[in-house]
Amino acid sequence: MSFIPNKKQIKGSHRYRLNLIPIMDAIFIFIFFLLMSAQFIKFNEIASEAPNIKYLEEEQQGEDEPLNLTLDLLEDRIVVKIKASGQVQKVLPLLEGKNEYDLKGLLREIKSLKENHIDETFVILNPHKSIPYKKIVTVIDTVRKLPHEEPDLRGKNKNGEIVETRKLFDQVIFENGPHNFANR
Amino acid sequence: MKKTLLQKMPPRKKEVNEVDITSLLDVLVILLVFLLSVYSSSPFEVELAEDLTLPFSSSQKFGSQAPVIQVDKYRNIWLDKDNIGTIDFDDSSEHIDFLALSLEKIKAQREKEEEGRSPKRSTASNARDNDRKRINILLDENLPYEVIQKIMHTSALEGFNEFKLIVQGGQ
Repeated sequence: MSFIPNKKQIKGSHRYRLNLIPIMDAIFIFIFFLLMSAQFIKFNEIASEAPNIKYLEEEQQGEDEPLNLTLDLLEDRIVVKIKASGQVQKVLPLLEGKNEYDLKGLLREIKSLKENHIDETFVILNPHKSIPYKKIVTVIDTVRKLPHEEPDLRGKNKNGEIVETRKLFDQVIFENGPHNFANR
Repeated sequence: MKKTLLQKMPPRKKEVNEVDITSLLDVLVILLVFLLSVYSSSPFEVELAEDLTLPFSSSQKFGSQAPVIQVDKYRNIWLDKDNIGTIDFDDSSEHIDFLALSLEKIKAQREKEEEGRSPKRSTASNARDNDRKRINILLDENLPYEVIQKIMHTSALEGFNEFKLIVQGGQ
């Protein structure tokens, strides 16, 4: 005798189950697509202060003259100047065939100045009015601290002690720029 | 009584459908790792204006809360989310009048808030003095220095002389 299911049994066996797997696949692919297209920006800051005019008191006039490191960022070169007199230390033209500053040359110059003036931390930037902001930021990055691959800098401080540091000139001041270049 | 074939068969146990969530957990863990890698503990948050691309920098110092000036590539200026105006390309003055007015309003608002506070000097109030001078500046990477100089000059005249140039970290 063969087993033939009756109507009740046939009805009961048709149970429709919702398959969620394709829906979950679609949702998660959607999430990954959104994540990949989203912009995650890490905000960091570069601190700078307005220039202050500081008058040397009579007692201080006998001390060593401050370095007064100034960088003139022009369209075709960087001029490295020191001391209040603006003595030109080095002129760094653009890289050959490129519209980029010679940042490696600048770093070399900055390192040698820092070794001889280990206590100095200020740098004055004097960009030409047409220099784009991103170029100024690359120069700031170069003069603020040593790259990872470079060893620590050593130099003698005012007390004659040997000091090691990775910071270069990390306090940036912007000089009032545009009117300085009226005749250039 | 004779039992039929169905009655003789043991009752079927109800099958409990278990959802296998192993693959779901895999995906969530990968998602978590990705989100942790882009997490920033900086307290500084800002809604970037359109048409504003920040330059990259190796600076690792976190931003902090202060009034925010944003200038996009078309020289439109936002101060704390409000579009306050546009710098004229032909304007040769070193001062931006509408920005100065808006910064004055912020100062006036702060002074009102300070009136209710104790006049005694304390470490906290000294710290607040420093905070009052701070201003965050977000500039498009292609803006020329003359625009930056105008923004800083105007801000400094209004008492905000601690500039925090906000940049993108790493590249």
